[in-house]
Amino acid sequence: MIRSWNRSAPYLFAAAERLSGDVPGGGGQIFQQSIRLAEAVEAARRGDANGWDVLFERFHADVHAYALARLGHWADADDVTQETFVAAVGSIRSLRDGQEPVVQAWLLHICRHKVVDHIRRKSRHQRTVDLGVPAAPDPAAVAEIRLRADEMRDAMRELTEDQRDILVRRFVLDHSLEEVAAGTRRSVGAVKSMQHRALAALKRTLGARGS
Amino acid sequence: MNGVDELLAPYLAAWREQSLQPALPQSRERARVAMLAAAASPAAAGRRARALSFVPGMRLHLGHRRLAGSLLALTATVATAFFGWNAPVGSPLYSVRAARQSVQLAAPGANLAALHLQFAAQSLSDARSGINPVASVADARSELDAARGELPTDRSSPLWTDWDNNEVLLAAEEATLSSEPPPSGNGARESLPATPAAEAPPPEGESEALGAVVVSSHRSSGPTEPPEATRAGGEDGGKNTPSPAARPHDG
Repeated sequence: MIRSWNRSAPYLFAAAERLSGDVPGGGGQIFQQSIRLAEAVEAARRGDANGWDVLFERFHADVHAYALARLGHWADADDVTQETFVAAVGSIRSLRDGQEPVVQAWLLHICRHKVVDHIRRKSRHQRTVDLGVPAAPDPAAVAEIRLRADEMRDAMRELTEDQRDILVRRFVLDHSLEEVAAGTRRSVGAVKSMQHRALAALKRTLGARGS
Repeated sequence: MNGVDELLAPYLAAWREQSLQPALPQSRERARVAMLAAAASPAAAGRRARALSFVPGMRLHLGHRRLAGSLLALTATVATAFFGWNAPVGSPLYSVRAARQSVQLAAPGANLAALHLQFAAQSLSDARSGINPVASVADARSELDAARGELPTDRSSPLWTDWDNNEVLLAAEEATLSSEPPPSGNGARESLPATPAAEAPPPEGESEALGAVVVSSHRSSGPTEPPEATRAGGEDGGKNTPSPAARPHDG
């Protein structure tokens, strides 16, 4: 039990941080933000720019992180993020309600499809070289991070689309198993199993490359 | 990281760190502008109105209000057509029946005589059922007259038998109507459509029943037969052209 808590605690804390706007103990703020978000969704449904602004501010980082984690290319991630929000405008009616996990899962679902579309488009054209990563104080550290991240993404090509999707949600967006299960409409057990198989496959691939 | 294998941990950490770097402000702003432009575009407004989640996985491209209005209009149309299909004469929905009959008559290849006879039989049935008998009888009369104009010259045709039978029934109904006292100041006779018999009072001292006068006057105003020919029993001597003397109910 304790072990399980220790394993899930970072994700739960991260989720709470996101909901409370990085203010610890902000339960009231969580409630207020969920009200605001629901109102924003309703406003967005009406075509109100303010409603879309709230959604953009709240979820842009998540969508961008998802796209960047999948694509690894800054400009591509920017394009896919933009396409995601533009597509969201056209499909706001399919959004079931204004609760944060639902809205986030809806946007990530759109983003996932945009990523797949982007990869298909890219595969028909020549692959581009990433020149767009912002400069960092330590170029060596940045190079090391980029190298490993690229290897990770290369290894992820061996996985299925669903496995990649789950890994991004779990290890980049810090979603809990329950959040991933709700966002992907799977059971917690199924998510756990897919994650286990995905990590095992990654280990095999990366281990083989390392050796 | 999260209890994962030591081999994977640095890769996952690097991957996560790189992915969580914030977007450049200019690209973020560009995405926001594109989204707001899409939200403000007329196409988005149209999509908002049209895109209705009907069944999971299936989208009906109609707005809620438009859909409700369309369903309401469809229901009203179906109900009107259903109740007006055989609405009796004088009913508010009679126009539906009249329109239906007009369409049937205008259909290519329609047997006009048979159709007029069918319509006359329907009106006679209404009259015999007591549904606005005066107007129903008048309608049956006009239909029988119209049928007569479309009947074949061969009197052995079964359509002639139908026509004769309907004439007998119609004469009986007209006789019944004429024998009944008018229910009010505006009698039943007055509510008949403008026909020569209905407009002109019966001649004084005439012992003939009013119904017979009506029948003979209608017959004389047949659409294809001139009054003179009718009175004389037809130009062909009454062999092929119907005449008052040839009607069974006149005998």
